[in-house]
Amino acid sequence: MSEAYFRVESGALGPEENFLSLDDILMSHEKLPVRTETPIPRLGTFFLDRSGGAESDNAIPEVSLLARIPARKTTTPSGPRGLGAPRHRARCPLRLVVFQEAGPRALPSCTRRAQREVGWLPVLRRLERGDLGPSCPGCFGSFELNIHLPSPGSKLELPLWLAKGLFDNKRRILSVELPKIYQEGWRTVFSADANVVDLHKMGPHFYGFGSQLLHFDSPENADISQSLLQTFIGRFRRIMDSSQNAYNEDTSALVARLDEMERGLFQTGQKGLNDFQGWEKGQASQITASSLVQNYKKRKFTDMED
Amino acid sequence: MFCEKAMELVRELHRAPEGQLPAFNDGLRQVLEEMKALYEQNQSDVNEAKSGGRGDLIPTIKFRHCSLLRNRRCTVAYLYDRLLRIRALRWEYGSVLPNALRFHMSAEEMEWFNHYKKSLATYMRSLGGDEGLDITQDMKPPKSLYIEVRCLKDYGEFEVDDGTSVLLKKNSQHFLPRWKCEQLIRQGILEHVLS
Repeated sequence: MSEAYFRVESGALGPEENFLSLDDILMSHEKLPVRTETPIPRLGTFFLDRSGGAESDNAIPEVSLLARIPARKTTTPSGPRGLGAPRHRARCPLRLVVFQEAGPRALPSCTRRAQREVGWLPVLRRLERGDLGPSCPGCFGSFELNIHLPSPGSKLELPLWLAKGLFDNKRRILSVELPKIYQEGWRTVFSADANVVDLHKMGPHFYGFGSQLLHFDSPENADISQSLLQTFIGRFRRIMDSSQNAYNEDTSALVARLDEMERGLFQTGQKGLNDFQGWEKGQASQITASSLVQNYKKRKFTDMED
Repeated sequence: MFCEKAMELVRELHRAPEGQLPAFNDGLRQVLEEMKALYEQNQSDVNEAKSGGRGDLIPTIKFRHCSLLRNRRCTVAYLYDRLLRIRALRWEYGSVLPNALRFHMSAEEMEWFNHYKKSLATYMRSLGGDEGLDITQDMKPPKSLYIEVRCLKDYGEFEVDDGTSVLLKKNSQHFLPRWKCEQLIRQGILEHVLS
């Protein structure tokens, strides 16, 4: 660890995250399940790639066309055969998203197929952003797309930062559900034996994320905080012992099942151990090369070899 | 999904091992453009909500606002962490950075580094009476004035205080004053030999 670089520590275990901490930024990017309570207009393309999963109530939001596409014409700038020209149809992305003003069931079969195959999502996104003009030279007419989630109650997975920002006490926009690992079932597992669980797999920021979850005023908050504390107490002894006794060896097996906070603790323990051993060997008075400089030199050699 | 580019910047920095400084990622510009687009969309929606009475746009506005705040947080944290790493460079490498590292810094960061160097130098000069005190020396408590060093790489001529010069060739050993060698030892050119 470089001696002079002091990064901003994580504050996730306390009341608030640290604004500048990279660890907290990564932690708050993890997802949690939410339910929308009101429709959120004009962000349809954002929600489209979130709610397309099996869990959501509405697989495809309703897309309505606000202006009509006029009837097929026979002359078009792109060729003599007109709108129906197969070459243009294949190439024009807009052609794929022509809907009628109706629900998803009335989607013409070609577009349903297109949905499945092509990936009309990027096109819709561009339309929403205004990148692609509202009219395409090959298609006639212009149209405005208005995409929104039709009904509240859709289940989504949003990152923690977004959920925190949109959440309020009256639950007007979102209501938050607890991820499985903080619920009753897993809490019993942790109380039985906390040491066997692979916390790295269960979301690498178990403690930090769990502590920040308490912001959402769930009725289970007291139990969650107790569970977090007891889990840590159960695992702490092993972490301390292993970090203080693994000198100069490969520790990947020891840290594999630890979450990020525990890994930081392990590293601190290792540093303490290494410093102590160095002192015992008399290196405390020996000027040593800076580890930062050594790492840069190592990298430079590998760069030159490429 | 908003804020993906900003997260990419943060992840890149987090992945760089042991406080090293990766090259300045120009993706910052894309993040700023995304922020501008979000802000403009929000402006128009706010006007519509106020004048057109479309209160249902408020969740959308809030949503975009959260994304703006998130982007801001990621960029500020990215830039700040880079500054922390650059500051560490002054203490580990000294005043003169190798060219490879200088290319990793943006122009503003280079300027910051120069200001920091100057502040540190001014501070050091203000300590210890007339001559000042070099606090980047003696990171470990010294036991003697002169130390035994072995040379790890060819460095060339090296002049000692009283005028004599020493040729630093690989594997040669010398008995030199501590304050002259400390910098070279930290850079890995010399090695402190304990007898």
